[in-house]
Amino acid sequence: MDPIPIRFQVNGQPYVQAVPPGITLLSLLRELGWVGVRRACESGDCGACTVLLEGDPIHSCLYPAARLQGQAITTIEGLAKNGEWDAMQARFLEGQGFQCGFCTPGMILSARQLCGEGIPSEAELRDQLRGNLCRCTGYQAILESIQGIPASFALAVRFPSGCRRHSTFPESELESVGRNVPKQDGPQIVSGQPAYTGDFAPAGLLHLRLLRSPHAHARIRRIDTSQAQALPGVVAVLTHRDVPRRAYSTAGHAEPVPDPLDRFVLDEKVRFVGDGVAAVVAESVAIAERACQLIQVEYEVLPHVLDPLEAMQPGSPVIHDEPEARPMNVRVSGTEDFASRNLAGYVCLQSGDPAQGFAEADLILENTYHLPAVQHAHLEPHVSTSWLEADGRLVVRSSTQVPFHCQRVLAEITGIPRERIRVIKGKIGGGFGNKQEILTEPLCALATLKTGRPVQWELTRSEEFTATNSRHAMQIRVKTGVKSDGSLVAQEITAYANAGAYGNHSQTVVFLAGYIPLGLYRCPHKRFEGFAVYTNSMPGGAFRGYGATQGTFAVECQMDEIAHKLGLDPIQLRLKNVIQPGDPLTLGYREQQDADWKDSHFNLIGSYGLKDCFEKIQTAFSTPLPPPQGSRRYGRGIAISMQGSGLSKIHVAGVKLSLLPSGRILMRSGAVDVGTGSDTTLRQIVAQVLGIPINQIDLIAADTQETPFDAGSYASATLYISGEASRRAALALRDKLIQAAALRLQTDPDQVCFAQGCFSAPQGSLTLPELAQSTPDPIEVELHHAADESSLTFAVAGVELAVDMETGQIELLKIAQAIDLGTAINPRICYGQVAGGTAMGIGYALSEELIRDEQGQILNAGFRYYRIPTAKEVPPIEVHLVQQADPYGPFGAKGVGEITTNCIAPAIANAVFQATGLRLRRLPLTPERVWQGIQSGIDPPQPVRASGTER
Amino acid sequence: MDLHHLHTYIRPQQLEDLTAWDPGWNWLAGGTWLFSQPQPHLRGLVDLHPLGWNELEISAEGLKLGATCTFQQLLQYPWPPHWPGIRALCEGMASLASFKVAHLATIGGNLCLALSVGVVAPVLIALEATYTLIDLQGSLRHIPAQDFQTGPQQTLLQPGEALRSIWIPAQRLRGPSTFQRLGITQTDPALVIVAGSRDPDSGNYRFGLNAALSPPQLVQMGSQPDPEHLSQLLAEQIHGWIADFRASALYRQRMSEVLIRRCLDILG
Ligand SMILES: Cc1cc2nc3c(=O)[nH]c(=O)nc-3n(C[C@H](O)[C@H](O)[C@H](O)COP(=O)(O)OP(=O)(O)OC[C@H]3O[C@@H](n4cnc5c(N)ncnc54)[C@H](O)[C@@H]3O)c2cc1C
Ligand code: FES
Ligand code: FES
Repeated sequence: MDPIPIRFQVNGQPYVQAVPPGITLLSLLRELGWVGVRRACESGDCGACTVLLEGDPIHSCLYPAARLQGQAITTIEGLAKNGEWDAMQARFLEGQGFQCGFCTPGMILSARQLCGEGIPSEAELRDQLRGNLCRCTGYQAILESIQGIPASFALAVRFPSGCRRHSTFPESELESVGRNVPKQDGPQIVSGQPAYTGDFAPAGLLHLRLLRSPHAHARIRRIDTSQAQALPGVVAVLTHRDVPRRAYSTAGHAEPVPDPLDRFVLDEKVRFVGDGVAAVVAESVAIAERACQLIQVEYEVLPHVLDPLEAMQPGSPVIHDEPEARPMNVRVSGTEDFASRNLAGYVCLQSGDPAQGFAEADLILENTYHLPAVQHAHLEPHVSTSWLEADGRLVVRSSTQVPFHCQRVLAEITGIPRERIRVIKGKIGGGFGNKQEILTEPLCALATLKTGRPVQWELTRSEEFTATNSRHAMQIRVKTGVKSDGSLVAQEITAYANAGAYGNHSQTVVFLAGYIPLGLYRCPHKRFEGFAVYTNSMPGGAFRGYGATQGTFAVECQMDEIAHKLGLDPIQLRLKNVIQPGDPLTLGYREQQDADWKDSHFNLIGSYGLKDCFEKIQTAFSTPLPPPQGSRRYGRGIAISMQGSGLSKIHVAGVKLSLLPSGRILMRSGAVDVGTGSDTTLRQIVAQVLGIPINQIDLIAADTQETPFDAGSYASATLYISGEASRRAALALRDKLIQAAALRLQTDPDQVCFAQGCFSAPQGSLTLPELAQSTPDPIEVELHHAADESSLTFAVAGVELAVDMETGQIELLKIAQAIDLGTAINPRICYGQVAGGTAMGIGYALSEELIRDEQGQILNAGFRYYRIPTAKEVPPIEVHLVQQADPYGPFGAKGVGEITTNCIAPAIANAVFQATGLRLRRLPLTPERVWQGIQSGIDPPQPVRASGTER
Repeated sequence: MDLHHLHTYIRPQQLEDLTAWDPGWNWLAGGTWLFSQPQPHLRGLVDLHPLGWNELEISAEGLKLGATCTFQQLLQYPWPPHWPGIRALCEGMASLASFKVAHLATIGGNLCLALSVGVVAPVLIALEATYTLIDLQGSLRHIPAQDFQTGPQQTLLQPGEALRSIWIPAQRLRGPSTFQRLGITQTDPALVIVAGSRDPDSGNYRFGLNAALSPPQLVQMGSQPDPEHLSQLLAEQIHGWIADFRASALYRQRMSEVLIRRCLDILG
């Protein structure tokens, strides 16, 4: 290979270099330390790698570095001049046009070009930004930033806020809670500073690549790694013979884990196309990749099964026949053998007597809904870096939602005591549940242990799509009996979830698929049976909504159908049946009291703003529906949903607060900010309690060595549970500070008033820094908190759309969503959650689906053919935050992370019905599916009267 | 993405610099496809840029486009207003990817890549274009647009042969044209593409169809057909509708009809 000599400039800095012929500008820039250029897809689809080449924005992942002949490149790092933000950076800061920030440098550089001659119209911007994907924001905040934000969102505190000498603060900065305090990492994000895990490369770093199985199900008979080992630059090759054989689960859950332990770091059997076979650790990614292709594997190909219903049949290939795997601890009635039915999880919940209920019904509807496997598509891939400290401690920096669970799992796998392992969460470029999975860390750590050197493993986009996790594909049957006045008398759900090759999260995901939608409505007789079934496909895992999304689609579509059949208004039907304050969620409770894991998921109704949510949505769609136009038909639909705030009793969060000698507060929190902004909102809570500005609080977050334990970011728990921990810690610190001040002022603590960072008493006054300097012992507080109850958040969404009857294409015209979230600690950040979740729901409804061939190979493993919504496919989103303080959450706040996705797909399907008369029960609603429905003029199955014919 | 198997990168200043051609080599134009997916069989890239094949020549007879004209170059060009025929070309190019890909992607690259979702080929078929190919010895051959592609990612190009330029006759450029696409979303590679042009004098219609089938095909009509006639025409003239994981052949066929009808409405 002949290196190519090139010269070029980056941000004014000249370089002369020789590069390999195939290296892209992206890799070259990152190697040179310009890490504001992000690697996200490497196929030209996402725009995260945008740079300016001689002033023109290009995707640097598509540009051969060898082609550089003296050109000048500008990256995000080169935009700010003389300490002044570039105008577009300033706009993004002002409008907070980001969440995780991974897409932001590319957005800014692209938007800058688009606004060269004035700001284009919104429609034009949406069209032109289709080469910039964002999975977090739903594009709303991005467009608002580019266009100049509406005044209502003007941020509370402006950058740069500077540090203050005096210790009393302007009153305007003292009220933190409820204000749009800017995300504290904003400047870091818009300037492209190194922050994400992959941005740091310790000296002597090795790279890991995994050879993956081409077969859906096979036994490895023989592996020959000698050729790979011999390739110069290869440092180690690991196969199943080189790693400990300890069964674990990739699901990041607190102990005792509810998930089957059925996975090995590497195994002699592969269970899906993409399962790991052997890892190469080498001096460069290129060498590691070439070496992978030199490994010779002899497979004994086994029969495979991809369909969950088939996999449950006797005689199906058994996917987990290994003796070490810990089987599920629940048993299916009448089935003694869990493994041979390929069951990864099973849930059965009942209250009342459904048969009796159906006998009383005037109308019974029974429908089956089909939900696809979809991918999280967080822009930052999974990545971890591991190394050994001088004292032999193992350190893993990772893009993880669960650093503490990761530490525990690493200890279990490696046999190294927990306290000798440190897991540091890097800044996360989006997770959505897929980083509640411990995927890259174990092999990375084992490679470091084997080589003694730092190792980094970053997944490629195609690996993200084929070898991480998906939302569980499900087939859900819903049978509902109602009286003619619309009151529900019996409801029964049966769900079959495709667990994929490993059982991580399946049991609990399936549980929520029934528990949430059945819990949402009052109904005397309910039953849920859920099966999570192993198949030879990529595992299902945790994904925003966590089963509730799937179940909500089924039930909310059917509720709409019931309303239509009974001639009732869909909103009235829901209001008539929906649970009310004081209603307990008892489904399955009586029978399952001994199943302790269920106790711990206990939800209840705290604050209840559902009626206001309905009103907001009704008002949002109060204009008359447009009449048909050519081949276009218009329709509207709604759906409602609920989701718990965290997991009660088992989700623990720890916070430590200390007064620093400078008078500032150091907050140590194990909580994980996945990009949502919780590093900001948690500080807001502390700031509020202490009555000081948020910029007086320094934060160290999510580092197993430096911060107290926190279960991690999942189940919409961070603000609700870690936030409450923060509030309590702040209250305790406040007491301690006052006591210490009282001692100094030689008075009684209740004589001391602490406000604006100043302690005053009749005897005199004292500032925080003065107190800090005069106290010999550190003033600090550490506490852990687990919620006793998990309050329910409710949501209502409405959609207006047009269907082209000739082509089946759906065009979304407007979406409004109202969320009953208690108190919005930071409304702007909550808006972001709602807009982002809404866009994710749009993808689920209209275009996203992992498609497999019969051999189990995923056919659309990239952004080109796996379509997440671009700005062009997202309509304006109207967000309503319905605020009624919750009695349990911190300052009345409830969880808002997950619920925002649930309502969108059913609302869209219901709107399609209104437009076309079609009930489509299979997602996504692709143009062809809609068109087929129109062609065959399928009528919804006739309702069945309860008189004897219960089918 | 990095192409880890690439050994050679050559920047010829003129074609004569290339004395040999290795079967593992390929031409590099914009690189927007070459670097967008793994190329395990590719060993060398020969860069077309230094050859300066990006001329854009307008004459009374028509338009000559060098193969390495970028999309951006063509999208920003101040086209003569009496050439509505160029509209379909611009609409087609604008529908692909984003303006940042358009900075690099070339018209020749899109044609030679010859994906079924190609946006340029159907337009040039509708516009009755001719392609000029050149081999390493410098000999030229001229191919009608509708004959150039033989299947998905298959063309008449021989190893070492390159697309040199494109010729579009003025007659077609003077008539109205349009580009219609349909995908699963508004921004994905298309499921169906129809480009249409009407001869300003004879009123004849030429349609280039792609994405629904491969290779792209020409459909001609003397006058506005009625709907049944159109279905019949397509059933008779067109074969090889694509069925894949994104859509069925039937859907693609029917949508091609719909788009032709929409083209006819626009073309008048
Ligand atoms: C986000 C994105 C979306 C895309 N969507 C589409 C799409 O919808 N439809 C579509 O067709 N393509 C699509 N592409 C693929 C591709 O980028 C375009 O087809 C583009 O026009 C290719 O041009 P290029 O100059 O970059 O070609 P290159 O990548 O440089 O080359 C492409 C192929 O053509 C050959 N070639 C190039 N020029 C010549 C020549 N003059 N003579 C002989 N051979 C030559 C090359 O050897 C190579 O095999 C997409 C790409 C991206 C990044
Ligand atoms: S990384 Fe280059 S476009 Fe996605
Ligand atoms: S903020 Fe855009 S991807 Fe996260």
